[in-house]
Amino acid sequence: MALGVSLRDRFPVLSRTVGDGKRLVYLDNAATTQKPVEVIHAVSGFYQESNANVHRGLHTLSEEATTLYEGARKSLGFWVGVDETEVIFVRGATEGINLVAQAWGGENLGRGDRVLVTVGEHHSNLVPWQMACKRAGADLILLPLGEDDLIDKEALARELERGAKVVAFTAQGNVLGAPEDVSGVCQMARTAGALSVVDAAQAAAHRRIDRDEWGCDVLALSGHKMMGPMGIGALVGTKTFLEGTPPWMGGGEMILDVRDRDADWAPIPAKFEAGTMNVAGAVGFHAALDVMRALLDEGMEDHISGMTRLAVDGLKARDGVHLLAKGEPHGVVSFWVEAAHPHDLSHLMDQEGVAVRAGHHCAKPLHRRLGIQSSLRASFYGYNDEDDVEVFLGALDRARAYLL
Amino acid sequence: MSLDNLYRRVILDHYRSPRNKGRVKGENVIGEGKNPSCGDDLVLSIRLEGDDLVAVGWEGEGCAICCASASMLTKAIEGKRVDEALAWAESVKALVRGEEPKEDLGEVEALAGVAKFAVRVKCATLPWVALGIALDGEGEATTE
Repeated sequence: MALGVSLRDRFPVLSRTVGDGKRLVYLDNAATTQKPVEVIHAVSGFYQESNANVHRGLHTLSEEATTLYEGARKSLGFWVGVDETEVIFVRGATEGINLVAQAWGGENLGRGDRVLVTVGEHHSNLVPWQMACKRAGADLILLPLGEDDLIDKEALARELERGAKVVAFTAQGNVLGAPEDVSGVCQMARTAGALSVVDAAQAAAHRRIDRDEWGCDVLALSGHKMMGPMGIGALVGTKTFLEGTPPWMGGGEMILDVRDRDADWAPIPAKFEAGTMNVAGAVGFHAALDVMRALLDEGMEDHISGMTRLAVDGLKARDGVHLLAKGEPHGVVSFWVEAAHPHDLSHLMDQEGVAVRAGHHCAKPLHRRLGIQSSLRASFYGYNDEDDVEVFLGALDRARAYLL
Repeated sequence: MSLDNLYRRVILDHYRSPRNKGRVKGENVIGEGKNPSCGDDLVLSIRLEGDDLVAVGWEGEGCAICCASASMLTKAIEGKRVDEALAWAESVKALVRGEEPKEDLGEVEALAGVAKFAVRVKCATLPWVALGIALDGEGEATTE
């Protein structure tokens, strides 16, 4: 397997054209990555060969489906270095964080408690905490980011000293793109007796995570940002956390016993997996992890760093273009352009086949602090190459000229 | 570029040189419009005397389509009666949905090109939705 252009024919959507026959230059990978044939085949193969509900039947298909589903859990557990019972399948990182904020927060947050998040959070690691704090009468504190776009440790220490129940933060922001010192922050949280919750949605797309190296209580990730299908992701928690947290949703499969007026919960992970799960998604996610392993072995991260630097240098060399990151972004480059609205630029660039994100990227508080309403974001993956960066920069120049 | 139908000359002109930008003197009616998905945010500032919109201004931030639409709106409805302005708003919304407008909308018809781009319809209609809210009652418009 080789990266860049030679990888493209394994991602079928990349061979399509947009507009009047323009090659697709897909640079919205931070929103979702494209899917390789392995993943597409795994999902369709599941429906063609083994579709049945899991854990419920004694017939062949149900057994096969269960084996495939639990195989995916095993693989993901291995991938992040945890026991498979510590892997809860959810729709994605957003659902995982909501589970923590609601199930754990509902039981453990009270009036006057303090919850720490950062100003750089995606709304998915901010709004669930706003909701939980409102319900509990707890205070939500937004930690500032330092000059390197990472958590300001002095501010964190100050806030922890005043007492905090939770520190919830992203391992790599979807706008600024700087990889956080996750283990350092978790260590500080643990010493202060606060729960550490890591939004790993972006980080997990770029590296193999070792939960114990991070030392977090919980982390959440999304399969679709790692070449897997949409609608499957995981909440990974320590046994202590998962066993000590009440279930979030009630329903089938999460029970041990049900009587007329109450029920006992199944052991983890089933306790948190009520109802029919996205089994095909889990099977596809398993296939995606295999592809990811191979691409990381091929040096995908150096490849992505190279493209990121090329884009950063190209943008910095242009008058009137301002980068949002002050630190060193990896994989994503967010910027704004004087006298040109991101939506206009993105729409015009799309006519040349270039797909970039325009808007607030689900990070409105961050944009407000940066003094802008919205921005453009280009984000790279293993199947992009230097040529894509050149096409992107050229399309940006032409779009700006058009609006002038 | 094949977007020429969307970014007609008159739209780019209103975008580059917005008309009636700013709040009007003696403003007594405002209409706020927000598009949460892109962050577009504008305020229509109106001085109403009896039933007449004697002065109309706008301020805010948005893409070229949204800003041009707001700029054209102020030109189009200034001096009109409330019922006439509301009828215009309905006609413009129909126009950007790809329908034939019931009346001659003048330069505002340049917005017709938006109909082909579903994601931009909300940009064009935001000021007109805000106008409806301003004149029909209190509140904030959203095109989500």
